[in-house]
Amino acid sequence: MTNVDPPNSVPEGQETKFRGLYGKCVHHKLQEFPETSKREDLREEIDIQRNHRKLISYSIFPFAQDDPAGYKFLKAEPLEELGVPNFDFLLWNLDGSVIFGEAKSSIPDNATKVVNQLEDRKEIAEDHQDYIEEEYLGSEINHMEFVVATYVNHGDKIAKEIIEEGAEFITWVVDAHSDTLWVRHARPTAFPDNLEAEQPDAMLEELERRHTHDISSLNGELDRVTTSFGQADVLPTSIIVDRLRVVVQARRVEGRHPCVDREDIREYVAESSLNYTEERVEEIVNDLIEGGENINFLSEWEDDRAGFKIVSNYTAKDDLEQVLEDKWIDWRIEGKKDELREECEDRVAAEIGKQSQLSKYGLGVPDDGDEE
Amino acid sequence: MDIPEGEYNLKEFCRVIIDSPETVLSGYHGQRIKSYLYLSDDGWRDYLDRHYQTEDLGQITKFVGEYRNRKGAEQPAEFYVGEYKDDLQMVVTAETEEAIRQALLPISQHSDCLSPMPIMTEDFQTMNEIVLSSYDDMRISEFKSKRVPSLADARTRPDVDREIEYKGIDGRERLNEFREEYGVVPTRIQYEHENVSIRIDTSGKFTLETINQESFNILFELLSEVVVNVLELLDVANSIKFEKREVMPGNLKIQVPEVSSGEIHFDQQVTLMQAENFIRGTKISNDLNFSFTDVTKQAGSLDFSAQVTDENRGSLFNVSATEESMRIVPKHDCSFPSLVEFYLAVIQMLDGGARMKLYESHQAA
Repeated sequence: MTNVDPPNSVPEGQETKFRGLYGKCVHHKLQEFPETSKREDLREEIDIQRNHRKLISYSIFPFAQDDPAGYKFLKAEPLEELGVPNFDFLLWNLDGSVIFGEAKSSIPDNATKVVNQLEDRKEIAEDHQDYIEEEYLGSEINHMEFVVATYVNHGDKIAKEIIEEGAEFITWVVDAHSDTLWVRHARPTAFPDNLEAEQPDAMLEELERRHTHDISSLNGELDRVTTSFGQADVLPTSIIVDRLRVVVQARRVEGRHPCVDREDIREYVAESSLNYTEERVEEIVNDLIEGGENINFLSEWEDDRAGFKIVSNYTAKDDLEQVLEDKWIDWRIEGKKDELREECEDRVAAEIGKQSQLSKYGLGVPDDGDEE
Repeated sequence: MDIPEGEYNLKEFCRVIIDSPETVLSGYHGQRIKSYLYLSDDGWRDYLDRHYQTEDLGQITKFVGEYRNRKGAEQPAEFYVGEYKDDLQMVVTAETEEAIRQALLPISQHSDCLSPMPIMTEDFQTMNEIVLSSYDDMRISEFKSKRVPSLADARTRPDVDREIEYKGIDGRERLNEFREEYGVVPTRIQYEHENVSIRIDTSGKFTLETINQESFNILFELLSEVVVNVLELLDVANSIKFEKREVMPGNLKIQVPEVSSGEIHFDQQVTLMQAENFIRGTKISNDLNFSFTDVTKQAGSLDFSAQVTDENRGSLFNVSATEESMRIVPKHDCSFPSLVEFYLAVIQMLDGGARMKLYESHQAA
């Protein structure tokens, strides 16, 4: 039995029956719900997101520290504000060349999917060339290249797939263990059909041309260059728990309360990202606050000292980060349980009047008669 | 401590202390001078004015803070600061350790323009050699030493990272024995001589138990040995910065990043376990207040990255370490005291032979 309010569709007089069936359904579903493994999956999701963000960071760092062949890091997630599939980073040579980069922290066995996804994004980037010129660069693009960056253990797989698919993406690999990045391509097991050369040597040369940068000095400067983590803090499309680290970083402590002002978050976001408009920064801040409130990590503070209180008994950043992750996982788990509850509510409401025994819902629960 | 009126520079101030200790110094603790060296940047005088009562005595500034004594009563604590060199200030006091802990040490904990002067372990060895070679009969009554492979070979289990503290009348001999046997070198020493008793450590603190010409001579001679390297360290820390540069090649203003990162080179290969101990050590330390978030680490050989916050100053930087070195990438409000203090933590708790320098981009080997 449960005290849930039956939906309006439940006929009068059937409320008690609804509650009984609903209670059993929910009990059964929750009992079957693999909470421990779901929690592990969610922690893994956080790790994947972190690895992805760090890979982007490793990929762009040489362009923040220096300007290899004139290229500088310009923007994370170009075109994201349009809601179209986008690359992870945009590099720009002030002479008019751009490089779009996609970071893949792991490559699935079916790497063709990744190549197809890259092809789609490439097409979208090419379609939006005018927008990029007008909104990001203020000048014309005269040359575009596309890069997929991955960790060193996945480099061969994606590079071979790119070559075998006849696609034109340059592979960068990052070895986080030695903090190095290099440009490489794997030798194909077979030549793709669309090479404009016939002799093996010429075919290899053509492959080399396709899978290295046109500016040879860039190949040289990037080949086994040392790199580092630390340049991509705010990625607007990453999962909210990863972005909410910003709130942890921006927090201060008043008395014994960790707290934050909207302005602190805004300043941090603006400082951590490049070339986002003020409006976009404001939207990102709104998303962060809303997301933080949803998972009960942030709450408005009825106190003059700060706009928001971080809901935690801890004050230190490393503890708060753990609290943030735990709260997000709890929230996601609760969300999944709510889905099960809604499912039960819908199913019981739909069936009530037609079915008299819970076993007929296919839930494997013994009906009342069987229990006796 | 009472100072006669006058226009002092640091040298004259020390001369007054030496010549008339009974009129300059008063009370029980007047028999013991502690000298702290601080790296400084523009604004440090204003910072002092904001946090202490200050009084100019020529080139020496007297500053008075308050502390709570053991009986719970508030008491003034007096300090004197003078410039030893540009960007290097010497604070002199005869206050108790408790008064110093409460009233002086916070001076740098929250400041963006003052940091304790770290002494690199190698420089510390040079200082020790100077003292021992100048005084054949100088005794060492107490020392702390640690394993630094690049500075000493070890006969016994050279791979073991160890620290040895010793008290005894034969410290000089023991130090040599430990050095040869275990490859440890000193990081804190108490010297004893007929007219001299002085204690030095790697965090820029010098304690003169005897107030005389000889003690001060040793202090200034030792300082002259390390000053070049510590000022170089200051330059390095000041150069580590993150900026955004505006460019305008077309009709838009575009921001591009300009990062100058730092690099701490380890003297020995560092493992993940050592790195974790270092993080734990900085967390439980009374003096340090760093927090580590966004940590990624792999078991086995070191593959470690994290965002580091200096909680006292709000500075933020990222570290990314291999077995050989640790890259430091500045993020927000990354002032030199945070970096110098972090480096000091590394040489005191992780690798005594580590050296911090400005990262120069290069092709990996």
